[in-house]
Parts: sequence; C-alpha cells; structure tokens
Amino acid sequence: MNIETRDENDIKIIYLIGEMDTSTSPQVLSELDALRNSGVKKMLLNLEKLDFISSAGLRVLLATAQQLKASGGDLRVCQLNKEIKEVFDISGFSTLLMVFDNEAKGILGM
Amino acid sequence: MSDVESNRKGSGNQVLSNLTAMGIFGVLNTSFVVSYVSLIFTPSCPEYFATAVALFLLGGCIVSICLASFSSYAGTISMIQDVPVAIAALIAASLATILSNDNPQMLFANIFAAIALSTILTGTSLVLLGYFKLGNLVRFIPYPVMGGFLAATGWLLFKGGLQVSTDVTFDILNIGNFLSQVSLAQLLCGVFFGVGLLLLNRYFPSSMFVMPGTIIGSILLFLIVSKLMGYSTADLQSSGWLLGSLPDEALWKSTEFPDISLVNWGAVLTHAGGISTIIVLSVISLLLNATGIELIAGRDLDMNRDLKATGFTNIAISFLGAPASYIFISQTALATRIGAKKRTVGILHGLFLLGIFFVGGSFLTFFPKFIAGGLPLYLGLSMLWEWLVDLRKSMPKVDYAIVFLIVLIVEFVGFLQGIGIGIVVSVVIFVFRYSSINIIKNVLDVARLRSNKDRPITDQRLLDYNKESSLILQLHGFIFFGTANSLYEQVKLMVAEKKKNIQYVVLDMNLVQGIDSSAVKSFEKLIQHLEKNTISLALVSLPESAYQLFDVNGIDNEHYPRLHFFRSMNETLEWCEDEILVTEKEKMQQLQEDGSHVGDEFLQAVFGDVMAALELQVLFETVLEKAGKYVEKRSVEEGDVLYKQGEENSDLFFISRGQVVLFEPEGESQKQGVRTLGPWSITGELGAFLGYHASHDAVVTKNGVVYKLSASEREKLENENQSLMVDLHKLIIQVLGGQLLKNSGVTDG
Repeated sequence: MNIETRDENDIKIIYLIGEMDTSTSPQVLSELDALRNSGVKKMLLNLEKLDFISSAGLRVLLATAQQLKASGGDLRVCQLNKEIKEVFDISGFSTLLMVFDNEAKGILGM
Repeated sequence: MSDVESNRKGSGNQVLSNLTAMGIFGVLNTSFVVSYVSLIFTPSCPEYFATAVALFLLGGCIVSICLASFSSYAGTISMIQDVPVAIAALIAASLATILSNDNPQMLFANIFAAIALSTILTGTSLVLLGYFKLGNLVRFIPYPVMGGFLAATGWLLFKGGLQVSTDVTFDILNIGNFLSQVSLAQLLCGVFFGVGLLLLNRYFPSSMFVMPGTIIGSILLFLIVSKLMGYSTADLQSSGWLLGSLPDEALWKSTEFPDISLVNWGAVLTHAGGISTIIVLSVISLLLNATGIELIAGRDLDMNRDLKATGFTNIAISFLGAPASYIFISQTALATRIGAKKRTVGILHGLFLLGIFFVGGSFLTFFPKFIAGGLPLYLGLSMLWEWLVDLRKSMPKVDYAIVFLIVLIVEFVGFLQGIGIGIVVSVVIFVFRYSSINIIKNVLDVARLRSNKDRPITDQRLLDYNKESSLILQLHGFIFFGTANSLYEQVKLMVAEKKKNIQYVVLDMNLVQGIDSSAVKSFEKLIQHLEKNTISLALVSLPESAYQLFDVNGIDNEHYPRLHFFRSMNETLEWCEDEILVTEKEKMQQLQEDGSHVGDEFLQAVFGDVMAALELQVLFETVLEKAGKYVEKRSVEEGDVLYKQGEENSDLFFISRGQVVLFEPEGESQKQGVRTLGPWSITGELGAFLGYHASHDAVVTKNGVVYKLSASEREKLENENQSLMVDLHKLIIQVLGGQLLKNSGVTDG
C-alpha cells in the first residue's frame, strides 16, 4: 500500500495506491493522522489507483472525515474506479462523503 | 344403581316425557288449527269450517310425522304456522271481496287453491334452496326488516283474533264503528282470554302447562257458567258464542276436496304478492327457527337437509290445502327442555292429530268462539310485544323506526310493499352507516414500514429523515361510492397538511374485499388530484375485478404517468424507498456542490451508527479471511440457486458481494421475494444450526462472491480453531440480531 501526496494551495491531495485491507488500513490511518496533526485541514483523496478497500479501510476514511469536519476542515474523494465506487454505493459512503469525478471538481469550492 | 336399572329409569322418563309432550302439544295445536281455520274460512265460508279443520289436522299430522322422521334435529315438533296463516287470511278476505259472497262452494275452492298454491311454491322454494345449499341466505335479511315482518304479522293476527271473536272486521281508522257493531261481552271475553294468556306466559315462561291448562280451563269455565245461567248449547250457538253447527261425527267424514273447476285462477293470481310474501316469510322463519333450535340444542343443524325435508313435506300437504308448515320453535324448545328429544315425540304428536281427525268433531261443537279468536289475538299480542315493545330497548332508534314503518305500511298499503320498503330503507341506512366506517386501517410511512431489502445504515437514516415524503395507507373493507369518496377527501386533506413533503402515496389494498364501479370515479378524481400536485400514487394488490374496471376507464400508467400498480407491498416499498433515496441523494449532492453543509450535518448524525455497522463488517471480513482454508469461495451469477426450499441444507453462506433474494416457497401463485440480502449478510443459518429444511429458495439476483462453509468444514474449524469459532458465533449472533431487530421493527434497546 503506497501513499503519495501533493499540495494544491491549502488542500492536501492524497493518492492511495494498492489495497486498503485489514492489514494496511492502520498504516493509512497513522499517515492521515500525521497529516492532520501537522495542521492539514482539507484533504482530497484520489482513489484512482486504489484496487481494493475493505470495511477496515472505510472505517479509516470515515473517522478521518469526521475528525476533519469537527475541526472545521473537509475530506473529499475523487476518481473512484468501478470496484471502489461499487463498495461506496453499497456501504452508503457515496452519501456520506463528497465524491467527485476528478481532482479539479473536488478542489472546487473546498 | 346398576346400568340396567338406570337405563330402565331413563327410558321410563323418556316415555313419560314423550306422552306429556304429545298430550300438551296435541291439545294446543288442535286449538290452533281451529283458530287458524276460523281466521281464514269463518268470515267468508263458515259452511266449510269442519272440512277445513279436517284438512288442516291431516296436514298437521303429515308435517309432524314427516319432519320428526327426516329433520336433522330428532326432537322436532312441526306444525302449520301462524305467519303464513295471517297472510292467508288476508288473501281469503280479499278473494271474498273479489268473488261472489253468495257462493261458498266457489269461495272455498278459490281460497283452497290460493293456499295450496302458496304452500306448493313455498315447498318448491325450500327444496331448491336446500338443493343449492343456500340455507345461509337468511343472514342477508336485515334484522329490523325481520322485526318489522314479525311485528306486522303480530298485528294481522291480533286483528284477525278480534274478528273471529266478534264476527266484525276490525279497522283501526274506524274503531267507533267496530265497537258499535260488536257484542261487548264476546269482545271482552276474547280480549280477556288473549291478554290473560299473554300475561300468564310472561309470568310463567317456563311452564308447559299454562297454555293448554288455560285453554281447557277456559272452555270448562265457560260451559259451566253458561249452564248455571241456564243457556243450552243451541242458545249459545244461536247467539254466536260457539264456533257453529258442526257435523256430529268424526272429522274425517267431513273431508271434502273442492271442485277445482270452480277456481278463478285470474282472481287467485292477483294475490301473487301475498303468495310471494308467504314464501319469503316462510323461508326466513324456518331458517330463523332452525337457528334458534341450534342455540337451544347446543349443536349445529344441517340447514340444507331441513330445507329439503320441509320443502317436500309442504309440497305433499299442499294437496290438502294446508298453509305452509315448518318447525315450531317454542314447542320444540319445550319438548327438548322436558327431555323429549327423540323422533318419537314428533311422531306421537302427529298421531294425536290423526286421532282427532278420526274420532274428534263433536267436541269442536263446544269450542267457544272467543277462544278461537283469543288464541290468534294472544299470538298477535305476544309478537307485537316482542317485536314492537321489547325490541325498542335493544335496538337503535333508526332501526326501530324501520320496524314501525313496516307495520304501518303493512296495515295501510300491503304486506309485500311493507317488506319491500323495509328492505330498501334498511339498505339505504346500511350504505349510509358503512360509508361512515373509515376504510383506512393504518396510516404509515417508509420509516415505520420498510421493505425487506437490506440497505446500508446511511440509506436507512435517509429514509427516516424523509419519512414525510411518503404516505402509506392500509385500506380494508369494501370500497364503494360512499367509502371511496371519503378516502378521496381524507387523502386530499392529508396531502394538503403536508403539501411540500409528500411525494408518494401508497394505497395497500391487501385487505380490501372489493371495489364497485362507482368507486372507480372517486379513484380517478384522487389520481388527477395527486398528478396535479406531482405526487406519485402506488396501488398495491388491486383486486383483479377492479383492475379491469380501471383498465376500461383508461386509468392506467399511460394516461397517468405517476400511477403505478404493484403486486406486493414489499415490491412497492422497495420501489418507493429507491425513489426517495435517488431524489434525496441528488438533492444532497446538489446542495453540497452549492456549498451547503447539509452533508456534514448528516455525517455527524449518522456517524455512530455507521461506525457500529462498519465494526460488524470488519468482523465479517476478518472471520472470512481467517477461515480461508475452511470456506469455499464461489463467484455467483444472477439466477444461481444457493439452496432450494424443502431441501436439507447444512451450509452457511456468507455474501461478500452481489445480492441474494429469498423467495417464497414454490407453489405460490406469484413468486415473491421475502428478503433481499446484500454484502455482509449470512444465510442458511436455520439449516446449519437447527437442522431445519430450507424454508425459502435462495437465488442470486446480482453477480457477486459468496463464501460457503459446509457442515463438515465447520466441524473441522470447531476442532482446530476454537478462537475463530468464537468469532464466527459472535458474527452470526450480531448479523442475525440485526436482522431480527429490522424484522420486528425494534429500533433500540
């Protein structure tokens, strides 16, 4: 599981690459926590290269989104591939998180 | 006491009961026959009094013996009945007016023909009703109409009784004239006898000796007093106190059949209304009497058998010119009460009447007229008391007014008209009352009534928050013009109250018995009103006949795009939920894109619930991951069957992706899904853990991945990895607990 980031003004664009399952989710959580603790309040997760996400991975995304929103920040996701979109739809995450087709749309108004 | 002694005592009691009943009912019914004949024949052709008594006695004998032998209730006492007699007396009086009074032979022939016709038609109707098993028809006669019939019959008997006692026709609008013509002594004796009998019967309702005792006592008292006052039988006859000069010989010798060629069928058939009334009333009275006997005997009677037996018997006695006859409820009840419950009692009673027929006659010479008139007067008064006085306390005022109305119409217009108007008024009142019954049984929404589809917690909460957008009405009863309009008005009001919110109206008609054609118009109005307010209407389980009416009237999805028809409530709810979710999600998306924080608020509101659901999903995935070597991963495609209803299935299925629907057992007219399972669901648990055969078909409806844990692998897992088995059990308990909560509608605790 790889995590790459880049900055776009005050927005941290994060690329999740690989599979986010029970074993890799703690790693993602600690990296997102570190970013949050470093003062990042706005995150846009690009999931184009995320091949799989388990419920443990969803839990990480939800917890992070909740913490960011509670501190006045925001978490959005974009570029979901077919498999991830299906998981988001089934689990209700398409309703819970703001989902965009691409980075440009996700950044807009953030 | 030994069994033999006990049996001997029992049969001794039985013989005594039968003989007592025979004696009492024999004397009583002979008196009734004399009264009935007096009522029908004396005013128009008194010359045929003895002949008519002989024929009626013979008819009564046949009825009693035949029905005692063939009725479904052994202790039946049957006889010529007062209701047909009362109407027959009206017909006889009318025939006497139409035909010449100067020719008693012709009058007798015509009255005989009219009565015979009414009896044969009554018999035929009873046989047909029995043959077509229509014995329950009586339950469709409104109770006030029944009360009205019987009260009116009572009134006719009362009037007839006065006429027989005094030889003067009683007219309620001309009482002064009546009083000026009658012998006051004869009138008072008749009234005193009738009223006295009524009071004695009311004070001693269970005494079987009151009536025969009073009749015999009164005859003896009258004869003794007359003797003491120095009157001879000839004096009493000439002054009109006795029934008339009768042949001093056995009654059977008076038996004479009329000359049929003298019958004026045109005149007889002008009384078709009266004859029809006799038929209708006899059928109703017979069935009511039989229902009463069921209560007294404490067991069900075979109504259709009794209808046929009574019908054939009436056809037989019609050739004797006897009026319609059937089971006598009060005498049968009395016989039952004194222990005379065998067929013997009715047969003995018939033989008693036969005995009178053969040896009687001369004793009728001494039968006082006021008793012959006092008996129908008593019967009339007791019926009036029961159906006009007592009923007032137990009946709503409107219903009681119908009873009274029938009596008035019968007196001033006619019997059949009274019945007809009574039925029409009752039906109108019934329609009015039924219209006020709310056909809406329950008012629900998608938060309180959910489909069986497994939905993520976010969707469930979205539906909760948007419950106001749906209005689900469970209807029941029969929908006709009265109730349909009320439904239209109520829905309109509910929609007006929540105008901005309601998007879907669901009418569940699973409990609706039917819809009439006039109701369809109200539905069309409702559909138009909802279309105008951009509200969708879903009609669930519309009765097939109603669907055809809708179709014929062009009420379909083509003409009304927001109108939808569904077979089952679950299907409807699923559709409604999907529609609400799509709309709400689009709305939320749009608001978020416009910078609204509605999504944040929603996230905060559902965060706890979603995290709890995710915990369970994590457990599900962890268990499957650890149980890798025990479970079989299967890629499933739409249409694949995991297990079939009735099969022995011991496998547990874990749905990882896709969708599985549990269908109702085969053999149902339309296969319906009872539960839709998505990812993180388990099925097959009843067979796996309890050994039950599968109660449904589990069919894949969306391609996906399913893991199968067979019984043997589960056993192996249990032996090899106990901690994983604990996790598996924990998972199953949590998943099934969640399903149970959803099914029972419990949301907390």
